[in-house]
Parts: sequence; C-alpha cells; structure tokens
Amino acid sequence: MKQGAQPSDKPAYFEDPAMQALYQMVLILGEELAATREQLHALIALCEAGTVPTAEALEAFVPDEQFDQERADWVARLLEPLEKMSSQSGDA
Amino acid sequence: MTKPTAEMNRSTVHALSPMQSCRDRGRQSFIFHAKRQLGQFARSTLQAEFGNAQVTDDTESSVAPLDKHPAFAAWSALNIGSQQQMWRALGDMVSRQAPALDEAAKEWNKAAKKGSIELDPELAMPTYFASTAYHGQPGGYCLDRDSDDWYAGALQEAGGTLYSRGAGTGAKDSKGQAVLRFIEATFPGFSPQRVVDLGCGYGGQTGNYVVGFPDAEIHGVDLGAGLLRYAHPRAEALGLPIHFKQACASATGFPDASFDLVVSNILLHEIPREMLEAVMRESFRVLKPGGLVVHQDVPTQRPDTPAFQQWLSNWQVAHNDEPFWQSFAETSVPDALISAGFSSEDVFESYQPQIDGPLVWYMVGARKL
Repeated sequence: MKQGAQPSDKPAYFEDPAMQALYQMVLILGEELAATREQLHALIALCEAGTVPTAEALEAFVPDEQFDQERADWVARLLEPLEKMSSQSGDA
Repeated sequence: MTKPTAEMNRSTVHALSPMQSCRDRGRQSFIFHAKRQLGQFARSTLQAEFGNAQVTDDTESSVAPLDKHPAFAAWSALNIGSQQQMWRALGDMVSRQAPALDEAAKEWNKAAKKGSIELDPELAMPTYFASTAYHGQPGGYCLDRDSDDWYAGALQEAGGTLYSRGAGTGAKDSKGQAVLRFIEATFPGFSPQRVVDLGCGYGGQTGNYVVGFPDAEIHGVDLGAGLLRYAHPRAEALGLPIHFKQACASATGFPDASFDLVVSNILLHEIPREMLEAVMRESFRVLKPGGLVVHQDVPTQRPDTPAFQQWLSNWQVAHNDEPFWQSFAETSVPDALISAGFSSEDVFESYQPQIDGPLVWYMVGARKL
C-alpha cells in the first residue's frame, strides 16, 4: 500500500515571504466569498420565487447564465490590479 | 445536491461522479474564473513583458529578467495558489462523499459484466511515478492506501476537468475523440479488433475507443491501482466494456503482436525519456503487422513554438510538478519510434486542433508494416 507522492516545494516568488502569504490569504478569501455569494444568490432567488429555501432546495438550485457572467466579472475585477504592474502602465 | 453544472462538466457524468453542492460550485467557479483570468494575463501582459525583456537583454538567457518582474511574481503566486486551491476544493468535495462513492464503486464492481480489472499488488512502482504528484495532485497517481482505494482516480477526473476548463478548454472537449478523428482522416477504414490505451488513468479517454470502435476489444493499462479502481466501476456504470490492467506502459505483459491499435493520451510528457523510449519499444512489440500506434500529447515539440510558449513550459517544470515536460519537448518521438523498430517511412507526426478548445494536440505514431 502506498501513501503517494506529495507536491514539490514551490520557489519563493518574493523577497519578502509575507507577500506570498498575503497572496494565499487573498485567494482563500476570494474562494470563501465566492461560496457565500453562490449560497446567497440561491437563497434570494428561491425567496423571490416563493420557494421555501430548505437545504434541499438550496442544493437543487441551478443559477442562470447571467449569474455566471457576474461571477466572471467580479473575479476579473479582483485580479485587475495585476495589469497595473505592467511596465506599460506607468505603475510598475 | 446537483450533478456538476455544464460549466464544470467536461467529463461525462456517471454513477461515481461526486455531487457538487452549492458551496462546491461557488468555490470551483472562483478557481475556474481565476485560472481563466490568469491565463489571459499571461497571454497579454506577461507575454508583452517577455518581449520587452528579449529586446533589452543582450545575454543568451532572455528568461531571467522576466523572473524578476513583479508581475511575474504575482502571477506565479496566484497561479500556484489557484492550483493548490483547486485540489483542496475538489478533495473536500470527493472526501465528503467518500462513503456514498465507495458504495457506488462496490455496487458496480459487483455488477460488472462487460469489462474487467486486473491488479498486481506486487508490481514495483518506478521511482519517477512514486515520487511525482502530477500537477500538484495530492498523493499523485500512485496513491493506494488500501485495497479499496479509488481516491486517486476520482481526483484525477475532477482535477483534469477543472484544470483544463480553466486553461480555456471547452466543455465538449475530448482527447480520445481527437485521436479518433485523426485516425479516421489519416487511415480511413482502419478498423481494429483489439485496442490498448497505455497510461489510461481513470479511463476517461479509453471510453472513446469503445464508442469509436464498437466491435473491438478495448484494454486500458496504468500503473496506478487507485486510478484503475475508479476507472473500472466508472466504465461499468457507463456501460463501457473495458479491460483494465495494472502494468507499466513499457511492460504490459500482453503477448507479442496482440493488438491492432496502440494509443496513449498525454502520457509521454509525464514520463522520463528512457521510459518514453521503452514505451515505443513496447508499442512495437504488442502491435500486429498492419497495426497502428498513435500517441497524443501536448504540442511542445512544434518547431515554430514561440519563445514565450517555451518559457511557459519551463514554468510548468519548475512550478507545477511537471518534471518531464522539458525532457519531452527535447525528445524526438519519431526517432524513438524508429529505434523501437518502426520504419522511418511509416512514422508520422501531425498537429490536430482540439475538439473544443483553442489548443492543438501533437499526434505522433507509426504503422507497423
């Protein structure tokens, strides 16, 4: 029986290790916010439709394409500051 | 609970697909969109910075200046971070449902009528396989904690789907279908009786050969017991008659000249060069005269691969647990086929578009005449 392989250590991307930790924290916050947005959207949509928002109803809810676009848009906004690091932006 | 939505659903939904909760969907959607955005950022800003670095750098290495660019550091941290997030989110989804999935696997194993599974608990794992957590997948493909463990296969399917969708691949993409389309166009009328898929993993592509060659006997070979324990009930649940065998793609144990078609899907860039050469020798050995071998892989060998694309390949090697990516890019598969016994005039290379996505695939193989 084999316990398997573990991912290799990653290089340090920043001279200050706190920067790397901060990026990880931002990603975790973004992921948690996305999960909360997903649940909140389902909850509101069920209430608006007059459906009792039980746990089962929440899990059965399928969001529409507009909500998917909203997801894409807010993740794009979250990562937009990256563009300011470009040497062409004047902020590098 | 719902089955995965179309957005995440590159793979076919089946009895062993983990159900995606509302919360899972939120987490995975975030990772999907982040990966898409980071890919776009690489193709635009990073590529432009790379070009600037090339222009201003008069040394032989044009990569180092970009490595020091703050945009590169931020992109790398986010890219690796999203990959680690992906495995955590998918691992949580699969682990939460482990008891139900375990029951489903047992039921389909018991009901198995179409295909089979042959495991070899004594099989020695090559060091490279036992020590690589491909793409950062926790445990890698060799994870095999007990005699019922199918976790590696479940994670490989879920991870492969989210990873490739995040990289820009569409929901209808299929590497196996791309191989079938290539064979149909290049060798019209080719109709194998026996097919083997080397490095078949969870069997996602192997099923395409059942569909493409409905009268053929289809076999799948992989080193990972934890992959095959998932592949077998998965195939049974989908009604796909596939015979899975735990073996190395370089030493399958099948008799000489026992297959009409040997295929692999993205196996070659995951193995060291000496193993690649051994796989070519095994492909030659098990093929019948008149048989065909087609290996499909990433297009890193394309002669006109842009310098930035090569730089991205190097990044994969250093950052994303792809230790053999670069050695694959530097290996001539046609030469390996010729060394294995194929005639040079029967060896072919081709670049084929993805079924549903922006990439092209490298197709390389030979006819054994």
